[in-house]
Amino acid sequence: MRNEKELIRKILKGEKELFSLFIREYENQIYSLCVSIVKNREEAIDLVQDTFYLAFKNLSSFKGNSKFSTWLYRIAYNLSISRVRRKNNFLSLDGVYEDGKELDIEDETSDIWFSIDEEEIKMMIEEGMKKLKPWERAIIELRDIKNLNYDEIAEVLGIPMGTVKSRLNRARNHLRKIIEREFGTKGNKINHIDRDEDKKEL
Amino acid sequence: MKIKKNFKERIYEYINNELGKEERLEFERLIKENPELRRYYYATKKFYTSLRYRKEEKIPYSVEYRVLSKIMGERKKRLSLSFGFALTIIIIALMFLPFPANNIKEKVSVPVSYKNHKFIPSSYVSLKHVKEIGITVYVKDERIEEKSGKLSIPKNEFTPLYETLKDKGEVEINYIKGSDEEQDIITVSIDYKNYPSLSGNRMFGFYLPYIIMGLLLISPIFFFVKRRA
Repeated sequence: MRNEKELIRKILKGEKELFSLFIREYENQIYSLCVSIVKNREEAIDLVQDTFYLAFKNLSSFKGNSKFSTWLYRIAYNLSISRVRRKNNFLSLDGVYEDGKELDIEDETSDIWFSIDEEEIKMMIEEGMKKLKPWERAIIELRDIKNLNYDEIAEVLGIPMGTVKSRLNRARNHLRKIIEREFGTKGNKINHIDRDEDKKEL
Repeated sequence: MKIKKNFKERIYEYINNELGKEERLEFERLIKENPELRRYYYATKKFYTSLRYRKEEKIPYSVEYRVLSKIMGERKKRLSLSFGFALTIIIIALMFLPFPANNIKEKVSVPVSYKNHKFIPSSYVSLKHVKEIGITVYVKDERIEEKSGKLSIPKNEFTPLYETLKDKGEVEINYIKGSDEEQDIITVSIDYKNYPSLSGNRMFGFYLPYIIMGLLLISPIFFFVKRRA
């Protein structure tokens, strides 16, 4: 969005209705982040509303050091995570997976990836995403769907950039393992390694 | 195992073109030479491509109206609160203000032995609506040092006096509390708190603070009615 700073200046001067331009521009993006974290559409809409309202109330504190969208994402992320924490009785959402162990990536590659088409994989991913931790869904959403860079993600999540990379990889691998565990058979390797098309790609 | 672990991380960087030239070449060499890594690479690529091209869920309906209503509503609320506060201050100030035209101050010197002195005020006509009388008695001693005592007549005691005023247009001071010491002269200051006749502009002026106060008290009803609507 062009002239965001100018727009903010005008809003702060009293032209409050101009804030609707920000809402129109970013509400879909904020919604998709919120819904990926809370997994509930109605709650996500409430969170979008709260995000914009909070952003408006604190607009004067936005210094313009980052993109306005990044600042909005940060508000939305914090609100969504707080909502999930409240629902989960303030349990920690970090680090540990459902079975209580850190994820251990298996060495073998499931044949599921070679035996089904992309559309099916997309459906599996949708299902698998629901089983991820909220922060894992958020980090995948921010990086792999919204294409935010590592700096921006670090700012949204409030963590160092190095941590962003490691968490991102853990989240992706966790999702992959969930899909393999839920939908695939393990250990049945199919020999695709000599396919011509694979070689061409390289 | 260590190489493989790094390899798994590098797959995403390779797909996203985040690797340097040398790292990229090394990565390509690895997957060409190692069938297991190659297989893992293709599996990851398929997974990751599907993940990246997922459809972003769109908001079912815009929150624009709701957010803006809240923002604007807050401004209105703030304005009405400020207005209400200012109005309250004005009303309180009004209530403390005397009606300037209705104060009559008359002074008369009365011998201390006069218990039933009669005093005819110059503007007795406006005394029709007298509600209270306060009498302040100043006592002067021989050394010309002022002492003071205060006496006010309660309304119930005033009623007979009011009747007298109405009929005769006179103020009868029938009770003066002075000093125990013998005095020749005391100075009597009579302060009539007089209220206006309730007609025309005066009536409006008389009731205005009460009208405003009443409106202020019932104003939350309008607020709630509007909210419900």
